[in-house]
Amino acid sequence: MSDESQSQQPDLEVSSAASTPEPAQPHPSQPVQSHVSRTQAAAASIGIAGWLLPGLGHALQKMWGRAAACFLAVGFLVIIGSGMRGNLFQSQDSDAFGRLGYIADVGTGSFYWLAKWLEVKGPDVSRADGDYGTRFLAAAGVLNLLAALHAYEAARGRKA
Amino acid sequence: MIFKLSHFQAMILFALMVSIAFGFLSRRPMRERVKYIGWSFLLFALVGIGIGWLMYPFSR
Repeated sequence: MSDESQSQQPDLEVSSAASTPEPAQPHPSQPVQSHVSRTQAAAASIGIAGWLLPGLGHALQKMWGRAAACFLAVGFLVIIGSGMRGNLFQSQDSDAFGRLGYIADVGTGSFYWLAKWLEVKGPDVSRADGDYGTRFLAAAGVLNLLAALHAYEAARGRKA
Repeated sequence: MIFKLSHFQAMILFALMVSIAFGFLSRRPMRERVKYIGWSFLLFALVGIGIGWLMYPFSR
């Protein structure tokens, strides 16, 4: 807006000088823009790190309490969920609920493989325990996605 | 590693873990966090037990 208003004030002196083009100078807002894009990239990296390893996004910002709480809560839910023989959804699931479940499970990041590794006997949803285990695993994933989003927002300076 | 938990134990563990994560993510001073975790856990447990009792007549 201000740039436009400035450019709409040409007087005669400027128009006479316009015939000889000056070398292009960097716009004053360019360093600010590059700083903003760098901050955005760093925030996105922190968000992805928080998703890959629960709590890492907060640990990189020296929020130790939150990092420990996220790591322990997500890890505990994954261990209990796989210990109860909950269903860990696969990417090849054909129905919509299976795909949604897969998105929730993958939300745990690297802990998805931990759950797979822990669940040596495979899922057993014929009992209530296995069904609860499925919910524990999905809740762990959604909780970790929430934590990663929080870390991303904190890195952008939107949350304390 | 296989866990055998009752419905109540599973609900309490779930409520505790989710409350702790919510408390740490949404509140800053430790006193506020503890208060939030306590309230959240209590409400999770109470609402869970309440819904359980509401469903009780239909289970038989």
